[in-house]
Amino acid sequence: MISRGGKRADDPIGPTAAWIAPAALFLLLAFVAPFAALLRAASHGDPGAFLRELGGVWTHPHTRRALGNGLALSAGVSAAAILLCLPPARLLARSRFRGRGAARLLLSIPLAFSGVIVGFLAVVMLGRVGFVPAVAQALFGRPLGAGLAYALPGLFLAYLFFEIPRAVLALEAAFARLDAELDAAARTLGAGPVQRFARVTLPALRPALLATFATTFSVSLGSYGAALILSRRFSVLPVEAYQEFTAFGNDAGASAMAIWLAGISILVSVAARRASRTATEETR
Amino acid sequence: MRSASWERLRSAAAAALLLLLLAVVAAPLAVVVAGSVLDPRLLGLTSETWEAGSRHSTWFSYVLSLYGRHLARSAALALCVVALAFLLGAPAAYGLSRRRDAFARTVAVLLDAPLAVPGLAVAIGLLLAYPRARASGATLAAGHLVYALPFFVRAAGNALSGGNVPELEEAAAVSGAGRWQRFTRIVLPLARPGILAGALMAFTISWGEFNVSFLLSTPTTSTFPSALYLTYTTNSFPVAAAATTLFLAAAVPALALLQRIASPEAARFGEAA
Amino acid sequence: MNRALTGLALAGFLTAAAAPAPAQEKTVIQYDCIPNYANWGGVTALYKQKTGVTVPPDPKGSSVALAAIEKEKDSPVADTAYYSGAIGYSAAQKGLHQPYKPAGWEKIPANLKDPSGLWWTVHTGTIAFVVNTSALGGAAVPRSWADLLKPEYKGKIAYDDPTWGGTSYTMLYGLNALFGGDDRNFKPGLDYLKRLDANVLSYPRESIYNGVLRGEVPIWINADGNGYKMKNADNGPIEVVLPKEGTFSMPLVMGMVKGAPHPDETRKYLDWLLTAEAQAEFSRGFFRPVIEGTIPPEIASKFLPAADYRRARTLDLAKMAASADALKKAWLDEIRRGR
Repeated sequence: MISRGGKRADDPIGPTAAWIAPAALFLLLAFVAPFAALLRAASHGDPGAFLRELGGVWTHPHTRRALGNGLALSAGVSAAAILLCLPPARLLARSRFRGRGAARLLLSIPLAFSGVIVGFLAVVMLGRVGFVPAVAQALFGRPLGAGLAYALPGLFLAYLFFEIPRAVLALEAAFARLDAELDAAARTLGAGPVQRFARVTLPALRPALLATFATTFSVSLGSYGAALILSRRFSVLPVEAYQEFTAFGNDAGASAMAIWLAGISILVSVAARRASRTATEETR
Repeated sequence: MRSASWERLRSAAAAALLLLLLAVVAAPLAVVVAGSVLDPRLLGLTSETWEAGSRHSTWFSYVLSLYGRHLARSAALALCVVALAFLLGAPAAYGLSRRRDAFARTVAVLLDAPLAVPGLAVAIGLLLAYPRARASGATLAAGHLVYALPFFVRAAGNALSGGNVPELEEAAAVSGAGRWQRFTRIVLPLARPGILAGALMAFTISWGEFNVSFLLSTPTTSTFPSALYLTYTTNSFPVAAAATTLFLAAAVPALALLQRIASPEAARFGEAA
Repeated sequence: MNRALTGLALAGFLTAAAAPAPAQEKTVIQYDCIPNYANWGGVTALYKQKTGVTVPPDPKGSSVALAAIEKEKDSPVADTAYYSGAIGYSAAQKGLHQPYKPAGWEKIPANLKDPSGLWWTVHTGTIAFVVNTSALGGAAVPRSWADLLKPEYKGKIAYDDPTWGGTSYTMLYGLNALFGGDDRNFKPGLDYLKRLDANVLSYPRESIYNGVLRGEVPIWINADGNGYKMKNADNGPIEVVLPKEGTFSMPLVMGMVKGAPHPDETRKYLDWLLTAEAQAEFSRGFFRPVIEGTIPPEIASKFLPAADYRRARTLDLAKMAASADALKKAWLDEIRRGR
C-alpha cells in the first residue's frame, strides 16, 4: 500500500520540530520581528487609529480598487502560468532530450530580474518604439504592438514573464517525483490517456499545483515593479503602499496595506494546503 | 495504437509550448544583449554615439568602472543566500513533507507570507528592527533569504511529496540506519531534483533582488540590480544593454554550474540501499 | 553532492565575509548620487583622483533619499544628500541636517542657501521641454505650455510623478503660480494639468532619460540640463525648449546629515564641491554652477541664449515646502486617480 505522507504515529524520522525549527526561527527573526517593529512604528502607540487605517484600505475607493486589481491580476497570471507551464514542465522532467539543461537554464533566467527591470524590458520590446513594433513595421508595414506595454495586456505579459520560471521549475520538480509506476499500472489496466490524466496524474499533482499557485499568486500580489513602470491608471496595492512610504512618509497607511497583502497571502496559502490535504485523503 | 499517437501529439504540443516559452523569455534578452554590441540603429532604435573623449573604449568598460564592485558583491551575496537556503530549507522541506501538525502548518503558511509583502515593507521592517546589523550586510542577506527560502522549500518539498521516500526510509531504519544517515543518504539524494531547482531559484532571486536592496543596502553594500536600474533610467540604451549583458554573463555560468553540481540524472536509487 | 554543497556554502560565506573588507578605503556616502545626472559620475571620479576618497553612486531620487534619511535617524548611514530644492528645504526643516557652511559660502547668493547652513545650492537647472524631434511623428516642436494642449501631441508627453520627483513638483507648483494660483488655491495649476492629461503617455516614477533618448517619449517636461546632455554628449536628436509663457528655475541643494558617520571627510568633500574645478565639472552635465564664472565657455555656448532664460522665475522654497503635502495629494487625487 502506497501511502501519501499522512500522519504516522510511529514516524521514524524523529520530532518534526527539530527539522523545521531553524527555518522557523529564521522567519521569526527576519520576518515576524521586523513586521512587529513596523507595526509599532506605524501605530505610534495608538492602536485604535491603526485599526482604522486597516479598515481604511477597504473603505477608500482607490485602495480598494488597487486591491481588487491586484487580486484579479495575480489570480489570472498564476492560472495562466500554471496552464502554460504544465506540459513543458512534464517534458523537462520526463524526457531526456538534448538541450534540456540549456532550456531549463534559459527559463530560469527571468527569476533574476526584478519587477522593475521586467517593466523596462517590456518597454524595450512593446513600447511606443519597441522592438516588436519595429520588426512588425519592417515585415508588415504596421507597427503592431506599439504601446502595448502601457496597456493591461502588456502588464499581464510582464507579470507572466517573471512568473514563468517559478512555475516551470516548481512543477518540474513535482513531476520528477511523481510515481511513474502508478501511471504505468493504470495503463496496463486499460485506462485511456485522458482517464489516466484525470484519475491518476492530476490528483497526484494536485498538492504541487495548489502550492505552486499559492506561491505565484503571492509573488504577483506583492510585486509592484512592473506596475510602477508600466501602468498609468491601473494601480495595485503594493504600488499604493510604495507611494505612501516614500512620497508621504505615511508609515501607518503603508504598513496597513502590507498587512492586508501578507494576510491575503497567508489565507491563500492555508486554503491551498487544506485543499491539497483533502486531495491526498481522497486518493486513499 | 491510439495511445501511441496520442502520446506523440501530446509530446508535440508540450514541445511547442516549451518552444513558445523559450521564445518569450529569450526575445527580450537577445534584444538587450544585441543592443550592447550592435549599432542601435539596426534595432530600429534612435542612434546615440558614445560620449566624445570618454576614457572608455566600450560600454562594458564604462559600466564596470562604475559598478564592478556591485557585481562582485551581488555574486558573493547570492552564493551565501543559496548556502543558507539549503541549510535552513532542506531540513524544513523534509519536516514539512512528513508532518502536518499545527507547528508545521504554521511555518508552511508563514513561509509564503513575505512573498506578498512589498520588498520595501520588509526592508523598512528589517531596518527598524536591526539597525546596527546593517553595515555588515547581514540584514541584506536576511532580506534576500526571506524571499528565497519559500521557493527553495517549495521546490524541495514538491520533490519529496511524491514517490516512495517514506518507504525507503523505513526500510533503511529497519536496517539500522540512524536519523542523520537516513536524511543525508536517502532523503537528500532522492530530493536532488527539487534541491537543484530550489538552489537555482534561490541564486537567481538573490542575484536579481532589487526591492529590498534598494532601501536596505548602503552605497557601500550596494548590489548590481541598483546599478542596472540606474542604467535603464538615466543612461542611454547601449549602456543599459551592456549592464544587462554583464548581469547575464555573471548569472548564467553560475546557474549552469549549479545545475551541473546536482544533476538530477545522478539520483540513483541504488544509493539508498 | 553533499560535499559539493558544503564546499559551495563555505565559499559563499568566505566571499561574503571578504566583500566588505576592501571598503576600508575612505568613503563619503551621498544619497542621490546618480552618475549620469548633473555629471555626478565625473565629479566623484575627479574627487577620487584628487584625494583617493570614494563617493559611491546611489540611485535614490530626492524623495526616496529624504524618506531613507528619516528612517535612519537613529543610526545614520548617509553623510550628505543631494536634493531638489524644496525637498532639501523640507529635510532641513525636519531637523535631519546639521549646520555647516562650506568654503566658498559667501559666493552663493542669499536666496539660494539657508542662513544657518542647513542647506545650500550647488547648481541650478531650469524646467524645460526636452523634445526628441525625430520621435514627434511630423508634429511641430511645441514652444509654449499652451502648445502642449494641442491634439497632435496626444500620447507624446510625459512628466515625472510629482509625488516622487522634485523636478516635477517644481513644475507643478510653478505652473500653479504662473496661471494665477497661490498657496491656498491650487485650481489653476491643476486645471491646466487636467487638460494636459489627455496628451500624457505616463507619469513615470523614475527617470526616463533613457526612454526619451530612444524616442519612446517624444516630449519630456524636465530639467534643461538633461536635454542638453542628451543633445551634446549622447548626440541624440534633441531640442531643449523654454516655454514662451514662462518657466521656473530649480535649485539643486545639498546639506550635511545630522550624525554623519564620516564628518571630517564629508566637510572636505562639501568644501571641494564649491571649488571652481568641481563646479566646472558639474557644468559638463549641463547644470548651471551656482558659483559665478566657473562655467567653461564651450559649455556655456551650448545653452539656449540668456534672453530665453529671462523667462525663468525663481520660486520661494519655503512656500513650496509648506504646500508640498497638500499639493501633491491634490495632484494625486485629481490627475493620477482621475477623480
